[in-house]
Amino acid sequence: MNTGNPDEGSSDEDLVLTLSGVSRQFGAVRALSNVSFDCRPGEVHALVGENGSGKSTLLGVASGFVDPDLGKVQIGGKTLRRDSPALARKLGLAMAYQDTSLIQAEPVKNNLFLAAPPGKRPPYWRRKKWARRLLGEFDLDMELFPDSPAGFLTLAERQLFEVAKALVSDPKVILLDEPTTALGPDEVESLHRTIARCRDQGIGVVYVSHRLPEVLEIADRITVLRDGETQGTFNAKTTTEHELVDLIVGRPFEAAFPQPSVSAQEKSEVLVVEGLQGQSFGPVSFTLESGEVVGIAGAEGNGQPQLFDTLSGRTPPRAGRVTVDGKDLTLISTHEAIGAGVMLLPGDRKNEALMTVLGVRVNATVQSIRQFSRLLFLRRRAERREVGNLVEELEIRTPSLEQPVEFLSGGNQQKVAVSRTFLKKPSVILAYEPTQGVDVGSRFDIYKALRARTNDGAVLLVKSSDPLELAGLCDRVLVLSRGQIIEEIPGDELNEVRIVEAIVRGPGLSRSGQSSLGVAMPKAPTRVETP
Amino acid sequence: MTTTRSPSSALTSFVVASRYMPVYLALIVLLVVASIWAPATLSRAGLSAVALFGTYLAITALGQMLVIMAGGIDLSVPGTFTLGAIVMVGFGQQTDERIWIAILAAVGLAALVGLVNGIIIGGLKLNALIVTLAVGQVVTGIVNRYHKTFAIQSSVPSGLADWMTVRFLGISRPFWIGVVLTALFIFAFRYTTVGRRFQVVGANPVASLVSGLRVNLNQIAAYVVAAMLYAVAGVLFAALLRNPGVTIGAPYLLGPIAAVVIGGASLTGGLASPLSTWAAAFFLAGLNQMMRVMGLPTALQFVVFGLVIIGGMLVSGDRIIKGVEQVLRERRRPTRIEKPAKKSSIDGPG
Repeated sequence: MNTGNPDEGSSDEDLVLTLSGVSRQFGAVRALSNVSFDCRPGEVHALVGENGSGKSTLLGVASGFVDPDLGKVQIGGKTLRRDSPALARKLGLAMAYQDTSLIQAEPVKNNLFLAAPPGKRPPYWRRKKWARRLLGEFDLDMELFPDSPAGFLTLAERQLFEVAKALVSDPKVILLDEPTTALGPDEVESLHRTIARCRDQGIGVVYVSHRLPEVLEIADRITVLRDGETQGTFNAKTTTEHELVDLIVGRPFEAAFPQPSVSAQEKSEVLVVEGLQGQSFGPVSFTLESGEVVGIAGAEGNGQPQLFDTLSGRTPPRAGRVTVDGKDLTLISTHEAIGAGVMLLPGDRKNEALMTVLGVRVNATVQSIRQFSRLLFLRRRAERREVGNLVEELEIRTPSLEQPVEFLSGGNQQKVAVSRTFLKKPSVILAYEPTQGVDVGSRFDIYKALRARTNDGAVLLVKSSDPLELAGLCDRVLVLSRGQIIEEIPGDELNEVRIVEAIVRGPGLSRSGQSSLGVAMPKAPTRVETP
Repeated sequence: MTTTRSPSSALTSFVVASRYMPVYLALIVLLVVASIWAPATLSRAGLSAVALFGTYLAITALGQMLVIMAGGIDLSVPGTFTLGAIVMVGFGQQTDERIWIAILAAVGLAALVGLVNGIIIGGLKLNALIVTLAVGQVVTGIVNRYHKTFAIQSSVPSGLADWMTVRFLGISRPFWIGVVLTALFIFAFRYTTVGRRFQVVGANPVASLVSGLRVNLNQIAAYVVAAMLYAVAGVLFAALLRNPGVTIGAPYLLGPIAAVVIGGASLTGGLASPLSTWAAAFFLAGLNQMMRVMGLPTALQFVVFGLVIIGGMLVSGDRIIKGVEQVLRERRRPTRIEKPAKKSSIDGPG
């Protein structure tokens, strides 16, 4: 394999962006340690890595949002002295954000106007024409755009607009954070044309993505991050997807998943979903038998969160039937769902799962407090003992049971959430991105814990954007596209490639590939033209 | 591997408790300042005034604390407080046999006010600030109208007024009622499921909803119980004044909020300590008494009171925790970086 920089030819003054020896710690989590990264003018330098590998923190440091504990940032040869996004912008750095930075209520033209540095702004009353002309350069069909509020754009349109907005300031270097998560193949192509144009103009492009085929297509150099450390920078021409995957994962991944125990218990249908329909998904039907782990795969924005919200009682279904352990559910409240044994482990742990200011013990027993009470009174000793045992069993790293969970690392926070399933013992566990923002070490503990629950007869429905995780953890995988199950991948065919293929191929498509739809937002404007 | 009795256990307790510390420091400072510059504050008469007015403030502050823990705020305190006092007079009809009926009526009607607040805020999800302000107006209006229906010199039953004057262990009886109520809340939060759920829901209503807890019911209960506490304070205040007017509740708009904040509660909900809130009420009452003893003009008293509240917010609750967190981060940095990454799990389970 090709390690190290492909060539060290260019001198430091040429670089449009240099990060040297950057380290940053958040609480107990080491997000970056001694990372160096640079970008030359007219180059696309891709940054790849798993969720939580430090990509976003690196971008934050480069763009002046995050103050590094150690290390130096230089933009266009000038050192960024403070953690100031305004200063970074002034030095010639622009950033297209992943979670968009648009003012939702304001029209597109105003958003664009605000993004332009004062010197490059048109007279205020002519901003519409100006916006239309600028946006036209980016393959965005702009007839309706300038006046519609930014909040009305589809996700795909917003992502493309983010890039356009970043380029308005005429930067030396532009950072793109996962710019294609909501884009279909046509839009990705259009974005890549824009990027190629930037490259021709001598702009340095830092391209962060976890979609390797895209990265290999567009990038000149690729840097791999894992657990906050660089695994090396590689020439895109001489690197293969397989080599990159090995570096990103950093372990033979088959070994890192617990094997299901072959138990003699008789199978029974635990969760039966028939014709379930809700906001932006359905009708879907599937059945989970006791002990099963079933994955939900699909590109983002195809109804996955809505499906989980409905199954957990957060949003009522429009039609269909859900049966748990033979009992019909109306799913009009989370209270009912929990009572019937359906427990959601939300993806947004801090806001939707944990009471971050409260301690580990209190968080663990949120749903099972009745087990630790007699009449109205708490049996504190029993509670402390049970939670203490779980802390040991799940290897939750905390100085004490009373430690507020906000001081724990992402992995340990998730373990606290998972510990609830050991106390309440639900028959259906809905895990939404169970290892997002979780360090690699804790991931295995979480997989093991969830498997332990299913080996006890519970069923687990996992939504994950990581095909490796789905392939390793699940017994079978359902592929969701536009809210429909378009494919079921049985256990013996389950591997990463198979899942990715199913996702990118989309629904009802022959191999002739007449069109590639269903991957992302159906409403996105697609204007196919050859450059 | 962690154990529950690691040395950091003490550190954790310190971090958790640190948000409630400033009020006790403030009390000590107040005692020192008062003993030097205004020793009359600490005389028998001065202290018994503090014990009494501190208690009225403490009981209303406990109510406000519940509402703030539930993520809201209650500006209907003056209205409900006055309601309690006036209903005590009106229903008491100056006959001792009717004392209990009047107390029940005062507390019951206040609970109704709280229920209205709770349903509009917890159920219909309207803004707590504006709803309680509006409901407080309505209550004040109704109480004013009701007050006009009985003779202007009407007073509370003399039995109640006399009960007030008897001391227990040298301190007047309302003080002990405040102590009992505070102890009750301390106990409830520590040892009962209801108290636990209440804290959990306040700390994160969204996560509580996802976890299947009944968030609305908890919020409604907060307003109902809070209103009942305001009424209790109102009744006790009426017993002191014998013939309360319709504006007696006015000072109880800002006071309870100040006590809750200085007591270290998190304004985002969930975290508060009944004991520190109680202590903060006495701090504020003591400060008031000291300024009176020192002969400060009333206008200046208002200014000092306001400044103390702002100062209290500067060193209170959420900000302290943030500071402690910052210090901990600095402290941890070198040790954590040297620590090797977590054990590898490549060998698989078992």
